[in-house]
Formats: sequence, C-alpha cells, structure tokens
Amino acid sequence: MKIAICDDDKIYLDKITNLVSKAAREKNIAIELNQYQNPKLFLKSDLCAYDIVFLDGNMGEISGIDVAKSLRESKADALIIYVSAYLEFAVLGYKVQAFRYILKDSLDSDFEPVFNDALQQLRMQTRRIQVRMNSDDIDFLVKDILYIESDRRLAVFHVCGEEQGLVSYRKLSDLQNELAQSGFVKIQRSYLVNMNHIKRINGRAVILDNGTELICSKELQKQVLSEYMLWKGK
Amino acid sequence: MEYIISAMMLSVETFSFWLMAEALLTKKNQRLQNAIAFMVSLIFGFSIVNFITHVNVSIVKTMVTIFTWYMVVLFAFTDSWIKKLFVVLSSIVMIYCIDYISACIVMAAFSITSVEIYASVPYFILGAFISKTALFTLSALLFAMKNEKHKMNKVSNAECFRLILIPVFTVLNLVIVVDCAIRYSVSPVLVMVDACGLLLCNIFLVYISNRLEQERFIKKDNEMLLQQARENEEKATAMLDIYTGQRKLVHDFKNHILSMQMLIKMGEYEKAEAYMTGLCEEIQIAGMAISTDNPIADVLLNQKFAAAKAKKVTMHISSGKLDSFPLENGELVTVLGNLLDNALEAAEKLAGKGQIYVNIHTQESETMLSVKNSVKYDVHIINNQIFSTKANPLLHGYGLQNVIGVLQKHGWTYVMQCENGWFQFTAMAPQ
Repeated sequence: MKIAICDDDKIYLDKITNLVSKAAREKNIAIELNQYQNPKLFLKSDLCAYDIVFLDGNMGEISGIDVAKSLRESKADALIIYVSAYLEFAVLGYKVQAFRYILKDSLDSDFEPVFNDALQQLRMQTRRIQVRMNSDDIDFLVKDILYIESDRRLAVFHVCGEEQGLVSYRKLSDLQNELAQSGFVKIQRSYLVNMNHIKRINGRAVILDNGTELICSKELQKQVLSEYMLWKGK
Repeated sequence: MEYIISAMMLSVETFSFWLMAEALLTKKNQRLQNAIAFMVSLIFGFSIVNFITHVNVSIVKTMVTIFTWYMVVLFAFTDSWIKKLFVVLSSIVMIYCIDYISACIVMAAFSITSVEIYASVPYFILGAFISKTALFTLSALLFAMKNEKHKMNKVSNAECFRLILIPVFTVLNLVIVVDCAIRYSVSPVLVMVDACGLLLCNIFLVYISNRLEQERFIKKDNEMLLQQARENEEKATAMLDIYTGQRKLVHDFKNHILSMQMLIKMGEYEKAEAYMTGLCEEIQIAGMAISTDNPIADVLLNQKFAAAKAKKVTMHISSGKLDSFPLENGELVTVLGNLLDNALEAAEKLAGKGQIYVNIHTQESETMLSVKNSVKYDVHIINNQIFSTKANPLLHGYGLQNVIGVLQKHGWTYVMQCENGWFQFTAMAPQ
C-alpha cells in the first residue's frame, strides 16, 4: 500500500507520518510512505501509485483542492484525506470526492477511525473475484462489475469496459451472499446490481451510470430502494 | 313495540352511517351545518319508520333512506357527488348484509326458520341487536382507522380488541338472555329494554373510548408543538450567538486596528508585525466554519459540530453546496436539527468513542440527507418508530416524528436502520 502525505507545515507532516507509521505497525500492514512538504514536488511524483493521500488544505500558492484535482486526473480512486485547520473543507472536499477530512486540532483523536475507514474502503476497492470461463480462471475487480444476470445455471457478469458479458457457471444466490458486503443488491430474480454503479432509481427503473436501465420486481421495489438509500448514506 | 324497535334500529343505523360517512368522506368544517344534517336524517328517518310501519313496503323504505342520506351527505360533506352516492349505496348494502348474516346466526343458534324470527319478539330483538351492534362496531372501527390514518398511524391491535371486545360479549350475553326468556316465558318488553340498554351502553363506551383516544392525540400534538417551539428557540439562540460573535469581532478589530496604528505611528514596526501575526491566528480560529451557501445549514452544522467536539464525539461532515436544498428554512431546522441532536445524544454515551457521519448533498440526479451515528445499544425500530428505554417515553421520538412529518409533507422517501452498534437515517427527495 502506498501512502503520500503532503503538508507544507513540517510539524504536521511529521506528526501525520508518525500516526500512519504507528497505525500500520499496529495493524501489521506493509506500507510505503512518501512525505512532501512542497505540493509541486508531490504533483511531479508518480500520482497513479498512491492509494491514500493525506493533503493539507492550504499550502501557500497551491490550494489543497487544486492538488486534489490534479491527483484525480491521474488516479480517480485514490482516497484523499484532508488534514486542515478549516472545517470548510467538509464542503470543498466534496467537490473532489475527498474521502474524509481531519481537523488539525483533532488529529490525535480523529486519526484512527478515519484511517480504519480508509483501510476498509481500500479493501472494498481492491477486492477481486475469480470466475471460471471456458475452463480458464479469470479474475477482475468487484467494483468494476455493473450487474450480474442469471441465465438458468449461468451467471453473466456485466463489467465496466467490457461490451460482452462474461459468462460463468455460478449460482446467483451464491454470488448474492458473497457480494452482499460489497454493495450488491438483488433487484429481481435474475439481476444482482452493484449499488456503486446505480445512478438513480426511478420507480421500478434502476438506472446505472453507463445508461443501462434494469427493471426491479414489484415485490422487491421497496426493499431495493431502502437498501440503496442506506448504502448511499453510509 | 314494533315502532320502538324500528326507531331504535334506525337511530343506530343513522349514527353508524354518519360515522362511516365521516370515515370515508371529507366533512365541511361547520359544526352547526353538520348537526342540522344529522338531525334532519334522524327526524326524517323516524317519519319514514312511522310511514313504513303502516305501509310495510321495504323497497320504499330503502329508496327513501338512500334519498335522505344522499341529501344529507350532499349538504354536509365536500366530496364529489359520485363518491357520496357510492358511500350511501355501500352503507345500505352493508346494512342489509349485516342484517342477513345476523338473521342467519340467530337461525343457526336456535335452529329456527326466518319466519319464526319475525314471529317471536325475543328472537327478532336478538337478531336486531346482533345486526345493529355489528354495524355500529364496524362503523366505529372504520372511523378509528380514518382518524389514525390522518395521524399517520395504524390502528393498533389493542385498540381493535378494545372496540370489538364489549360488543362481542354483549351479543353473547343477549343470546343467553333470549334463550332464558323463551324458556321461562319472560315478557318480550323486558328483553327489549335489556337489548336497548345494552346497545346504548355499547354506543356510550365506544364514544368514551374515542374521546379518550382523541385526548391522547391532543396531548401528543401539544408535546410536538412544544418540541417545535424548543427547536425554534434553539435556532433563535444560535442566530443570536452568531450575530453577537460578529458584533464582537467587528468591535475587537476596530480596537486592534487602532492599536496597530498607534504602534506604527510610534515606529514600533516589529511589535506591530508580531501583533498582526497574533491576529491572523485569531482569524484562522474564527474562520473554522463550514460554508454550504445555505445559512441555516451552516448555522446548524457549525453549532452541532462544536457541540460534538465539546462532547468528545467525532463528527464527519460530507456536504455539497446546499443553496438549492429543497426544504424551507424552518423545515431544514426541524429535519437536520433533530437528526443531529438525536445522533449527538446517542453518540456521547460512548464516552469519547462516539462517531457521527453526516452526508448531505443536492445534485442533478438526487438530493440526499443522511445521518449515521454509533450507539451504545441497538434500538428497536417498528413501523418507523423507535422503542427506547428512556424515562419519559412520551417525550421520546417526537423529534423523529417531526422529521418524518416534514419529509412526508414533501414526498421524501426515508429509511432508518439500527444494527451492529450503528443507527442510520437516510432520506431522499423525490426526483
């Protein structure tokens, strides 16, 4: 796991570094930690490599938001955690899908739960699933699955970037149990949908972010909406 | 005697019909008009009874009753004519069905024919009593269900049981009385007086029960109003605090500027610079505020964030710009204020380990408001109501009821869940 810390204030840079190192040691996690006191140097580094980035909100001539925007262009799913003296980053950070923010004066108390959440999120983002296709085992990221369609004893995986569904001998009920923690919801007898890819639910129509429209069964409509709302509001 | 029984039956029918009409239609809010309509239907009904007793043609009685009741609902209710006609006809059909079923019950219970029912006064009284008690109980139940629906509740099983229990046992009691009366040749007049008395007792008990229920709701409504008043007071205090803070800041800075001016005039540039550095730090502390472009949301989030910090509860806020948030200011205070207060109250019990996640945004595709907090013990949620162990359960949950009231008014969808030490309330605006 690669973590970057970018703060123009040396005291906080070291403090965050210590907290991350300590937490990683306690959890027995192997990490590669890079410190940046100059945001320009951070932006010149290999941004694609970072899984978690701790960013100061104000770093002189470059704001934390501008840094985050550049980071997003290189790596869309990096977890950005703002460490700022200003609460306003709760709103500003939202623009760049910041994962969390920590106020500098609450760093000691707030670091641990935020870091734990980040690790959990990272685990979800990097979770992979292995399926057998035409006697070959292939694996792909769970987060890339849009939805899974059941066709008798076959499961068709509709994955981001793949025009054709990936067909495998898997039971939808088994997959439902396996993927429940990753935000999958059964919308009818033969569809299991990744809630991370739901753009909106309009009545019984479940619209995915790639434009696909699936129809939810009448019996499950209420339950699907509840599960989707709880997932979104987490 | 036939006249008295018919008059009694008609009174119950009219009263039951009135309850059914109130349950299914919308009453004009004029007490006098309603009272006149009710009295007219009753007096006209008595005249019909008198008339029918002489001519004894049931089809005429039915037609005249339909006409009278239809005129009454036209006068006292606001709905469309077709709906009113439907309610009148349904009520008549229901009365006939219940009459028929009651006659069948008496025939089965005493192994007699329908002719014998009409020939024997006690059997006839028993049939009439069962029929009218059932009719009245059903109407009262329908009326109670409408009242509860209006208050966004469901009629509880206990309430149904309470409404049905007394009529069922009075019917049973009368069956025994009639049986004894026939065996020991007791005067039919006594049976009739007993039946009339029991019927009146039933009506009176249901009336008392409804009154008690209404008073309970009035008490509940008053508590909710008190809660809203408290929220408004809190809002006003928060606004006043902000205003006072700003006044104080302006006043202080006037003094700071004057002091710096003096230091510069005296040539104490280093001291002036140090003074200014100190001031900058002060500005940073004052600027530690969330800004969503929605002043009310800002006041609430900042105020509750500060309260959470004071209670050693970690509050994570994820918020977009809320300038177009689709709730009025007062409504936003009710919804967000109550949810955050509840979350704070629950999270602070975790002694420094409490956490609250606030997720609020309004985007092109959706508007969402979600508050999730850690709880010491999971609470039970039944019918969107939280069952707690609080000392005063009457006061608990009003905040949440107010929240739900506002959300329902605007057609929002909401869901709440409490499991594994986390409580979550999420609401979404209609698209």
